[in-house]
Amino acid sequence: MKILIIDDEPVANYILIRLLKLINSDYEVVDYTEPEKAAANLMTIAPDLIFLDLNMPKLNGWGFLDFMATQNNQSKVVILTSSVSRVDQERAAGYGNVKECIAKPVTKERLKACIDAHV
Amino acid sequence: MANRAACIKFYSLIVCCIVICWPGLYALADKKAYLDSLNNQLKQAAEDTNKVKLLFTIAKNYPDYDPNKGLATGQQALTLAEHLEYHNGIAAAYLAIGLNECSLPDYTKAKQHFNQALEIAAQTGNKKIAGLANKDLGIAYIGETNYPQALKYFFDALQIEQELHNRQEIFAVLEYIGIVYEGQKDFTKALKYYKMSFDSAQATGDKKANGKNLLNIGQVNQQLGRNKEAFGCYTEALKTFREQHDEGGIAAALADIGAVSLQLHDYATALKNNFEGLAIYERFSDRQNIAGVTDNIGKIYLAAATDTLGSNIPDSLTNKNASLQKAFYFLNKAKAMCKSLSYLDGMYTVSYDLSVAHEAAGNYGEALKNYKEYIALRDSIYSGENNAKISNLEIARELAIKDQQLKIKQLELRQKRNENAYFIIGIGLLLGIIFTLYRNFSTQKKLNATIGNLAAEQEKIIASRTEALQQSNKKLVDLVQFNVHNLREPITRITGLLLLKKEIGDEDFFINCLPMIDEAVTDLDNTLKDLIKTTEETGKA
Repeated sequence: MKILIIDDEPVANYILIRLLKLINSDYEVVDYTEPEKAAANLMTIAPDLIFLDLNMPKLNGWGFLDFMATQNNQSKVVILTSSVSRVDQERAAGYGNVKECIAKPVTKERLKACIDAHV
Repeated sequence: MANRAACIKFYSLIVCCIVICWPGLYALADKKAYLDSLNNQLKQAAEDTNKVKLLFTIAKNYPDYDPNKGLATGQQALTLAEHLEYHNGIAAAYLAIGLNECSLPDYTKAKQHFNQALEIAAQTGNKKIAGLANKDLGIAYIGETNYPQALKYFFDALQIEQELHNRQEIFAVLEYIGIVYEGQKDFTKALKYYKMSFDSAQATGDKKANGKNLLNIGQVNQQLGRNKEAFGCYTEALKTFREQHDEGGIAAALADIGAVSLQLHDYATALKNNFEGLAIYERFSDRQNIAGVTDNIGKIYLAAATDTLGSNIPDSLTNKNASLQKAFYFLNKAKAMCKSLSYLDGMYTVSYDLSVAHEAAGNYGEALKNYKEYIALRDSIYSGENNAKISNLEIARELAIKDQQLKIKQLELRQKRNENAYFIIGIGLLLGIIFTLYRNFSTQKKLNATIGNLAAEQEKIIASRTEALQQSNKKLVDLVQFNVHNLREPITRITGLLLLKKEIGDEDFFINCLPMIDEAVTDLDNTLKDLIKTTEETGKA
């Protein structure tokens, strides 16, 4: 299974990769700290699940989701952000491919349950 | 005693002169020429309505000149008017006939004719004829000494003439009303109406009428014993008549001056004026007035003969016997003329004067005979007066009722006027209320508009401030969210790494994760410092 991580903070990407590998070492994980580059390679990567941060410079999480919509890309997305507000949840509901919003930090169990639920 | 008796006789004579006045001393002596001129016109007149009018004018000018001719002319006018079916002409002819009958005198027939004229006037709605008929009926009633009835007709005539604004007739009727009051011895009212007539005539510029009124006013003054005022009025009247070349008026004024001079014991002036007046009446063959003035002259000689005061007796009259003889001459002449004219009022006066003269001469038998004649005539007149008095009372009652009806009508009229006034005031008040309400409504509308504008302005301000607040709130929320995220981000890194410690070994954690925690703590510290700085700057702004 191919998992794409997009977060401008490298430490966050590091923590998530380590946890995913602990869950299943066979997972193919690709991470980007620059979302515009991830967007450019999205078709090529063709991930089964995307973990997306919202608060990012240049292109934020919402911009990335809009880009996916323009590309008619229906890859499943889990928003993983430092703080999940009600406003963010309501806004996220507007995107059909967003499956869940999870607040950081995430435990291994919570992450596994999420993957099991959506993949 | 003898002196006292003479004195009493003298004053009795004066009183008699006051009480028994000669009626109709005024005459139109120059009427003959006028009538001749009208009769000449008549010869060439066609048988039409104009001829009826001409005949009427001639007939109505005959009464004090030749009433029999006047009567014949009036009948002629009536026949022609009836032939032409000229209703107004018929009515006018009746009036002319009646006026001549008054002069004969035959008041009963005269009243019948005046009433016929009045009836036609009512049928045709001719107010002019109605006014004249009422006036002429009044004249007939004066002739009968039925003063209340005369007054009734004169007031009716006055009302009609006032409606017609016929000033010529108004002052004539006012004069007749004065004559009635004078006849009733109501001298205050008589003077009032003579003066009203005088003023009215003055306004129309009719100087002859003014002269007549001056004579009337003078006569009232004379009866009130104001002889000097009376003399002034007569003198003024004489002057007016002379200016107008009115010989009838001149003769009347002269006779009146003569009469008042007698009362002032100025025998010379009295004789002079009476003889002058007599000459004028004789020139115009005015027999009734000739009889009157002749009697007056007789009275003057009698007064001079019996005067014991010796005041103002001219040399020509100092011989009392001669004066008494002259008195007999003139008084007998006057009596004969009155007899031939069947002039009862004249007979009554002259009989009394002759009685006094015979008494003065010591002819007691003749004095008694004349006094009996005087009493017989007086009783006859008084008997008539008594009958008239009864009918007068009835008429007075009718007049009182009529007066009350008039007052009721006036009250009704006043009430109607009041009702109208109240209605107008009510409408005015209503309009005032409507205006006030409209004004209040208008003011309220303006106030509402102002309030609406203010409210709109307020809403605008509130909306503007709300928007500003909302924007401000949004900014604040955004700022809080941004700061929360920035704060939580390093914390989540730390907690994430600490959670990872449970999954990985201590060595791995210390080697790989601890430096990351250290970095995260530094980032957190910097973020907090930035937040404090930003908050301080925002608070200052």
